[in-house]
Amino acid sequence: MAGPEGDRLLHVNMTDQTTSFEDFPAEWKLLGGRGLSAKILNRDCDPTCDPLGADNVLVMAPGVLSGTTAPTSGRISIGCKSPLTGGIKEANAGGNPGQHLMKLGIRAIVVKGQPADADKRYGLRIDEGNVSVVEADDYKGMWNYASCEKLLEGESKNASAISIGPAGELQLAGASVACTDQDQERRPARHAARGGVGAVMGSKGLKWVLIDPGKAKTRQPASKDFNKQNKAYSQEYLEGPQMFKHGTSSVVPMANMLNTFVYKNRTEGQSPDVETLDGARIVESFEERGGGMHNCMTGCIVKCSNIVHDTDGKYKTSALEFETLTLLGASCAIKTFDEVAELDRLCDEVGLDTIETGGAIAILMDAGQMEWGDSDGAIQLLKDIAEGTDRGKMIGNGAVATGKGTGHKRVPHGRGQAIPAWDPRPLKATGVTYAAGPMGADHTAGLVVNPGLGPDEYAQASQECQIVNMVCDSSGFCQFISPTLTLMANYYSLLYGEDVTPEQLGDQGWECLEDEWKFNSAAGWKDEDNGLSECLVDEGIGPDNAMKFDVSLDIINQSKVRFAPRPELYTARASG
Amino acid sequence: MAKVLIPVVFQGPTRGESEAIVEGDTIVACFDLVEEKFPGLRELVIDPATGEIHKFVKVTLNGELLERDAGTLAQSVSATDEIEVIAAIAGG
Repeated sequence: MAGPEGDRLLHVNMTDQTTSFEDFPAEWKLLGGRGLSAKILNRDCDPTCDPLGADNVLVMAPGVLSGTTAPTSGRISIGCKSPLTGGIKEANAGGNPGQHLMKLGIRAIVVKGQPADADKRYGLRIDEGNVSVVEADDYKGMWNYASCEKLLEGESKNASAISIGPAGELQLAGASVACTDQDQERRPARHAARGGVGAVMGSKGLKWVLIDPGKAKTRQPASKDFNKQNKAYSQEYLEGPQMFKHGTSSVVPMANMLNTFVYKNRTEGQSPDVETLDGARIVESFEERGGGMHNCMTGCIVKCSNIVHDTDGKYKTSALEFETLTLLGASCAIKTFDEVAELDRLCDEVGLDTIETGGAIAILMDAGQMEWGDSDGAIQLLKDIAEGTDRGKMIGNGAVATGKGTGHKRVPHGRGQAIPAWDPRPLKATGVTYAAGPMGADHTAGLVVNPGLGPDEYAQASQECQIVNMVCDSSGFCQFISPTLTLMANYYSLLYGEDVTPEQLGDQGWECLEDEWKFNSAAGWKDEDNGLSECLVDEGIGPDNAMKFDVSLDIINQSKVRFAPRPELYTARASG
Repeated sequence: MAKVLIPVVFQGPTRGESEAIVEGDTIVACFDLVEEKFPGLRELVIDPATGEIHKFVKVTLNGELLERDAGTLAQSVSATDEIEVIAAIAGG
């Protein structure tokens, strides 16, 4: 047996609401997720297109290992030309849609065109044997939780959904795409958040995708040793320190010590509210309120996702992550995790990236147009976004739009996208990823949390992490299970019954980065513009405010020229 | 002497060094000696207020995960022992 066969690409034309299948190109067999999205976009999308126009292409691509029994491997990538960066974008999410699509042999959904009537809403139904675009006007304007509950009611218990909220329908550049998780309630709590991918889905009139895998089985590997590999890898992980046992929010105090738990629109690297925003407070709340840790997708052994209850013991949100606690909490001087949990839920409901939205609100506060720490005001702002008020649209369009709208100059961003929690001033190699990487300011593209590096090491450290993360985000593995190129090569070998080497995957990762840079170059990006906003270069944080993003353009651009691969590349773990 | 392995996250104080060989006879003594060599590292691992290992850090002795309490840190070490500091990094 040669491993999974008969895979297809599902094409959806939103101009006439028709669908068709294409045999999956054999030369892309080892590509999924982000890498596959880049191939499809380079083939099918004009890089100069209007990101919100008919010519943009929206790709929903699970990873190579999604739908198999490999642990924590069911992630899905959403790709397109970004309305925020103007370049190629990939954002990925957990939940079950990736698993379900791959069980059906659908390697990607490729959405093109645009309905003539912008007021129309459609849904895409993928049942085990049938695919159809259906009218969905009755979902117009619905928030994600209510929309998915209505959609999944009466459907198979195995079904999952991908959806957008009002922010996506309004085509706001901070809009996310939600995926339902594997819990019984199938909550739309897992978001492909960055880059405005939800706005592109909204521009196509596509409100939701319903996937019912029916009785489709897990993807069968070529080698029986696949299951032995699962057992060994799971055992290794479970017997290890399990650093994400209490979720990413447990990183808060360490980030604070490293001056990357940023406060008041990144004017300081540490927050005085670190104790009340620490994920340890969330874990402590489980005993009295309920909630706890769970896995967001079937087959996940990491279980990093928290379920947060309110003081009445009722479900509030999932998952409340480190990034959200930083951007919607510390950076806005909002003090408690309960306040941030409320904002996080609203972002999931309206369909917004918590990083971009938190960045925008902090700019509004910094501009003096809202009090620092005003969580009630922030809640109202998120409701304004859903209602499409002028102020809501400004915030919903992200950090740069809010800077323009307020006339405020301190707008921390890279390529038009708000800076994530991990700050490029103490973590300069991560800053190189933000400045020259094809994703703009996106920590998942290459997070190097190593404050001990010297200037001559920034470019290579960034590049190596970008390669490993690219392959990880193409594999379906979650970055939090920290796979290496060597592990992923072994899995691919066992899946397809052919020898795949770590070196081959390193080359693949680099080729996919080059695909993305090629797209961006054609879209108008120039290397001389690679950098971060002035406030990150001129204004310091940390002791004596000495930490600035003082990396030269020459070093930044060295990350785009491949270094000779070091042996460490193949054992480095993905981190995001 | 014991070897203390330092994760990349904490290599700011060590200026990129990933390990230190020190002559401490207990775990905490090893971290005291590492502090002399690389000022600022100890407080990243051991909470100065409680004397315990920080909640967000894990420490292993020859691959075995240690409890966080100060009593554990008083445990004896020998010349061939390896103390590894592990720290989480993730965004979400």
